[in-house]
Amino acid sequence: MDSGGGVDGVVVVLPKMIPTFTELIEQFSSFASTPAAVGVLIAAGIIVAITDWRVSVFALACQSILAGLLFSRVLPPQLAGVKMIVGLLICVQMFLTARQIASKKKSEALTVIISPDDQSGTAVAASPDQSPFRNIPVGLPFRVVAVIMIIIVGWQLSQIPDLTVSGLPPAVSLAAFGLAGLGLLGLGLTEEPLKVGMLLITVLTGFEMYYAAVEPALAVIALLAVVDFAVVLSVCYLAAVRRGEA
Amino acid sequence: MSVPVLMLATPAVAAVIVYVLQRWRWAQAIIAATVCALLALLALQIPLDQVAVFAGRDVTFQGTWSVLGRAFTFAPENRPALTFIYVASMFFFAGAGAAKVPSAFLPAGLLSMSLLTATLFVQPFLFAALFLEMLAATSVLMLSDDDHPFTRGSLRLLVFVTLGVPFILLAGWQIEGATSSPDDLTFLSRATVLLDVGLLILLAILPFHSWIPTVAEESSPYAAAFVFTVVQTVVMFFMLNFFNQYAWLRSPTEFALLRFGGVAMVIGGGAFAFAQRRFGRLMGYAVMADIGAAMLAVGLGTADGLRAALAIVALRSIGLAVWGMGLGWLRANAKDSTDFEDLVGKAWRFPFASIAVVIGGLSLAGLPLTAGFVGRWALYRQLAVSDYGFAIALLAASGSVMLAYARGAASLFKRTSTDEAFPIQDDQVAVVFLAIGVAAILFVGLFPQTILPTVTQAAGAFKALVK
Repeated sequence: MDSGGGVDGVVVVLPKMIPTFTELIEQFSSFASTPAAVGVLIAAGIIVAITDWRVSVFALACQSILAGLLFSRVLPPQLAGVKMIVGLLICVQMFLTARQIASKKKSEALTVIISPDDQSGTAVAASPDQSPFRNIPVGLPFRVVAVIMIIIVGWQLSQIPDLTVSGLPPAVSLAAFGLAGLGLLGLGLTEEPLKVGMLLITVLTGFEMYYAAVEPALAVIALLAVVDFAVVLSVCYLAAVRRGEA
Repeated sequence: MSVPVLMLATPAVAAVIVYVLQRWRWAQAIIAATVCALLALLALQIPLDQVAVFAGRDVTFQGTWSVLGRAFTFAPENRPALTFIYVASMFFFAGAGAAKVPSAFLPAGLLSMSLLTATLFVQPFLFAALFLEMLAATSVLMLSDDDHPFTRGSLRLLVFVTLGVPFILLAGWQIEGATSSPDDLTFLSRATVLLDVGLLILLAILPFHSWIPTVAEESSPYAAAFVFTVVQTVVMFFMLNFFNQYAWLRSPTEFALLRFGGVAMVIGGGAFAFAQRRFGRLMGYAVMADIGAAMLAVGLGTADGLRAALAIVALRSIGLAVWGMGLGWLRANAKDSTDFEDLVGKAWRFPFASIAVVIGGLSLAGLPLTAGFVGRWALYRQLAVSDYGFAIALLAASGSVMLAYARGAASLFKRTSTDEAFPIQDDQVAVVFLAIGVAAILFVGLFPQTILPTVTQAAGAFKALVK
């Protein structure tokens, strides 16, 4: 057998099973413009509007994948891939923290209440609200309207020539302004650490899209990735230690 | 041997070691303080880009380390700033053994040393903003823990710094544009606006100040004192670097804006401090007024003003450290509260901690014969000549903070019927640190000439500003 995989001079061409990231990006290149920009804004809007952590983390993961596709318009595909992976790792970190906190809260909520008048000492478990609508915020209509308004403002800002950068495609510009705006909106509406972390990542992703067209240096991209991780690490820590705040 | 690598890596490695030793608080404190002392010595003495004999060998200590197309450079001008940061941190870390601090304080504090050093070394220095962001994220780890589970202040710090950093980076892009097209003034005007907004947020100037009193109230007082001292000092140096490097930024308008921002902080801090009935928030507003005083001094645009600003920034650390350690002990023995009502009569059981809180607070307010007055006096003298109104505002703010502390002191020293039943309960080791701290405040207040040469030397690093 020769080293190339042939037997007795016959060359066997093995089918390529796993495409490279560059090839993947090329396959999705038609999607990496307006559809991705719209998708990333919808994902960010969901993060702002919905309080359920599972939905928010899933939306953040979608946002990271779509943002990775948009990054491929301003950065080499390999770097865009790194951005996408960083975003997904952040989602894993958020998911694990949120799940741990949720299970902790659940066990705390299942407290045993014994009525002082009940001489038999029967324990009653106070179970949490199991309603499927419990995680829909009271101000949902307000949030949805605000999200739509911010997306429109972001779209308008992306049309102003003075605010755009040469080399930044319009779809990426729309996503950058929209993400920054939606992140800021969300930051004004919550003080819950994990949510704040997701919104900070949203703001930073918007900024990084814009800044990638200005400064595509490897060192800066690496530093921004470290910043993303540092922010998420600290909000996860805060979420874990947080107690007694409304 | 690369000096930047040595100075960046040493605290980071020490942070890991200290983290492992979490059960031995004193071992942690000794290691952390020793590392800071060694780094301070290195910062002062290490010969740069020269051959020196080290451990019996000829070694060249290189001042630059290049990585991914960017450089970390230890310039001789960095020596005073680095030395101050390391020495201040050394005292904070040594005292951490006796203070009530979160378990992550020392590891996170050492890690923040690496980031602070990177902030001063990175070239182009605009990218220091990214390290400031990492620094804010690290600070969060030391501000909250299971004993201090309120996270609002820490989150606000993180959010504000995250929002400020993009402005600084975008300003850098505009500055590059101005360098390539010097005739187009649009770039410079945009860079100025972006820098102003970014620094406004990073320096916690009104209305971006809200994290300061919240952190001061919710977090461990000692950890909060560390963040207010070291982190805010680096932000101040970051701002001064801009003014030092870019001649176009040293315009009368920019200095006027600095003065305006400074006086807003002074008035805001003074006004809010007067209404406080908690030592935590009171300290936060006192820090606000002090930051404002330092900015007011820089805004004068003179060499003497810069020296006064550096004196204010440097001497803030002593008052804050003493105050933080004292209040940490009082708070731990008052159901985790800093409310004046909850601390009534505590001075009879914790006299050293109470005196530390009062003296540290009064130093922060700029009371004569305390360390905090040295910089303020230099500033008063200059303001009295150029901006009489600002001097009055600063004086009123100082008076307001002092009156609020007087109310707090009255609560602390109020006699209650149960006082005689309890003996003095101050921690004996903490008493030593508190006594040294109070003595240092009074010594520097009485003999300010002992620190003034160092301040003058530090100001020399900003050559364009001391001309």
